[in-house]
Amino acid sequence: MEKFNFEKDKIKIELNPKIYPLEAVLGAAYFFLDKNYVYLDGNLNRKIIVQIKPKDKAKKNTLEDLGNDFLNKLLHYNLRYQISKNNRKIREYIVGTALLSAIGEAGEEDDWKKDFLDISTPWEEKYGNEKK
Amino acid sequence: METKKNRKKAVLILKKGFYNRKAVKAAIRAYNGLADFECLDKKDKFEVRIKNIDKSVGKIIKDEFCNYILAEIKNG
Repeated sequence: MEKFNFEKDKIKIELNPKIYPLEAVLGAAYFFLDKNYVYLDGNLNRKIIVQIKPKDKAKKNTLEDLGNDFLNKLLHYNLRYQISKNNRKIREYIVGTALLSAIGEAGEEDDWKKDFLDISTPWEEKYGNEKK
Repeated sequence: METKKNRKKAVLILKKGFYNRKAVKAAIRAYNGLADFECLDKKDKFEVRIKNIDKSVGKIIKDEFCNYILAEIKNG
């Protein structure tokens, strides 16, 4: 379970990296950068420690709310990460198909632009100085 | 304009699993005008030594520097 530790004006949250991958932690941390100072520590295999310090001085209650908000955001980013991971192949397939079809369209010349009967070539170029 | 420098030093330990060299270097480039930075690449961490800190940012430079690195990692 996540553990909150309060220090003077900051909160330390200990997370299990098997439940919350680093990508999700970074996403949630980025969201909090605006109004807080965020520092990451710990060990990637055992324990991730997120330290959050509000830019404005905070009371302990506010710090606890901040910690809970962070955990909510972390769940959100965790879900996003899992969905993105699960849909990766289908996403790549869709983008690849779209790009390939776009290349096909650009490469093809429209039929109406082709001059099968050589109509656009002037008489002089076609027959030179031949007399009628 | 000459900026007032603080003699206070600061040392920042950044674990390699969480922070990467490219982002740390980018942050040093961005904050270069406010202090002197020295980055030591150790086995499992970066040790950033900050000296001659501009007095106007003395209290927050360490925290802002960390935030900048995190933003750089996310956007880079």
